[in-house]
Amino acid sequence: MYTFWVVMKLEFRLIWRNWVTWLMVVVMLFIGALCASSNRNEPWSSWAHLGTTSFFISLILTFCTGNQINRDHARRLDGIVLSTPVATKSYVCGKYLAGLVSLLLLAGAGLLSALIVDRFPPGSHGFLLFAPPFYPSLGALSYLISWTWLTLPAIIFGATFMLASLTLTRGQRAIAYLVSLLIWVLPLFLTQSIPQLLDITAAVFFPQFSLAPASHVSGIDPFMQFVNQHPSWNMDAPPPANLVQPIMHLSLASTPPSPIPSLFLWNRLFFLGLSLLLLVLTISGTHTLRRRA
Amino acid sequence: MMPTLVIDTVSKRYERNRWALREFSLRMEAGVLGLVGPNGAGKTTLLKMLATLLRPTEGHMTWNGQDILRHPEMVRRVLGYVPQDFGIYPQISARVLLHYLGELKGLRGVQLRRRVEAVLGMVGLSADADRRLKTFSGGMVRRLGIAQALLNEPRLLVLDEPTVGLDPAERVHFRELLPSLSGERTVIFSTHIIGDIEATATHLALLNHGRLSWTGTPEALLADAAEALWTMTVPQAEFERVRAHYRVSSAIPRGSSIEARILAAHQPHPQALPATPTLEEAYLLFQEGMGQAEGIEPFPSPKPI
Repeated sequence: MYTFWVVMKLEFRLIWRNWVTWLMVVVMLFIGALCASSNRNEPWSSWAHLGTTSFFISLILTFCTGNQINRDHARRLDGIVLSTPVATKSYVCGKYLAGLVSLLLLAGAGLLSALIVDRFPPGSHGFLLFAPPFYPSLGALSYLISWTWLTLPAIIFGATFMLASLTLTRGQRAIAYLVSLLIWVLPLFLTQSIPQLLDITAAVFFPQFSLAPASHVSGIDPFMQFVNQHPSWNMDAPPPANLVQPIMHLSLASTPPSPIPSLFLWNRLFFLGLSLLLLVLTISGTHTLRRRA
Repeated sequence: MMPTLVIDTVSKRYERNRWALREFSLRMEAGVLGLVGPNGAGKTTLLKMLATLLRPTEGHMTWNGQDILRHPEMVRRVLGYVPQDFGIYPQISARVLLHYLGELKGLRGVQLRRRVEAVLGMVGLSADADRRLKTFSGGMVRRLGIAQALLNEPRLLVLDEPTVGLDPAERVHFRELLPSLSGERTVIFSTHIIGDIEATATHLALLNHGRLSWTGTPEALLADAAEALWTMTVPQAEFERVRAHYRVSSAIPRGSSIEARILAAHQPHPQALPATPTLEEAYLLFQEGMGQAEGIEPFPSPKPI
């Protein structure tokens, strides 16, 4: 157990001494702020913004991780490290958790910047890519819910998948990147063809942020009814004072969309279970590779 | 009781039926064993097996009576290993890396700090211990590799070409260090530099094409070559004629003549005088014999395996 902490501590230190990690902090802060400013501008699309943000954050962070064990091999340090009495599972789990915690901290930076931008007072001026915040704060709960349901499982899966891929293929990045790209992107376009259980983005459950044609979305949701009842309302301009409250009420009611399908929960459990399996596979593979270092 | 390393008819076959090591056997207690052989002789394969990083295809290895293959963790606790080629984490300092490896080797607290300081001192890196490793020269990295191997005061020290990349002063320092470490330890190191063997090894093992072709003391190898080394100073043209027929171990120009040392079983030239061979020359002579015998029968060997 102690060596697990030793490995994790050093790996964590190595990750945070890399300039790419700090670049990622900036990227995450930007994405989080962009999401919050979009929500403040179009609160009725909040879940779509949160879903898209989660998609980008999890995909970008997945591309930034997984090399912890393969790096030791590529730098020819594995001979020294693996000839010590460290247990293989302590070594793998230490490396894995250091990577995972780092990704969660990076994703947390995005969440933090979203929460901060969400607290800014309403106004009518945008800034660069940031839309003007016409509407009041969405509140922390919406962000925390989306982070927990959409971002967290995707990051856990991404961290485990990339660690397993890069370790077991001895650093074949192109293959790992291509497969993860397919896992993340295909469900956005093929919401009807991909089995619901296999959609890491969860777009299949919430077509609001899917890139697939929306023709299958049946019926008119309450917000569309509201739009139809107020034909004079310009969605691209600051809202009339009397409409702000009903719009926010409708927006918060659909963030997250309700009801959440039960299969969505199974989907999240499926990816967490798959992550556990991949971790076991990585430990087993590393144990085998340890005798052929 | 002195721990004993026993390697019993160990072989290693890689892909495409390529044998890196064939039926290697050795029994060793405390002392320093120098492994010598040409590239591809199987030295690194053998040392990786001892470092529990490679499983033999056939054979057994035991340390203190316990099977290394079944209980690799038992030997890892007493092992210090310097691979032939290794890298570093450029972002951290030597001290941090040594603390990390020391903790992995089971050292804790005051004992860890004391050992880190001690090994840094042994390899002359105390003053640079807090510098990031990306600023280290190749020789400094090599010394750091030796330092990490000594952290746990290993009973079994396995060094794969430890002096490659060291400058002459560093190499001499290493030669001084090794005997002081040996004591009750078993030290096995491979090298291409016969001078290292000469200065440090109590035993010598010669490998050729994956087989142990000779083992004994350096003195025994020297004794084998005692009557097969000649020295002569002859004009350039005559030297060229001699060189065409005999193995030359050194040729130093002296004005219009060449002072040469020749390996030959009989007098190669009327002016040639018997000379005392160096260990390197004795090794070359042995290799020459192996080449002529095409691996069938080793050149004079007092202890054939």
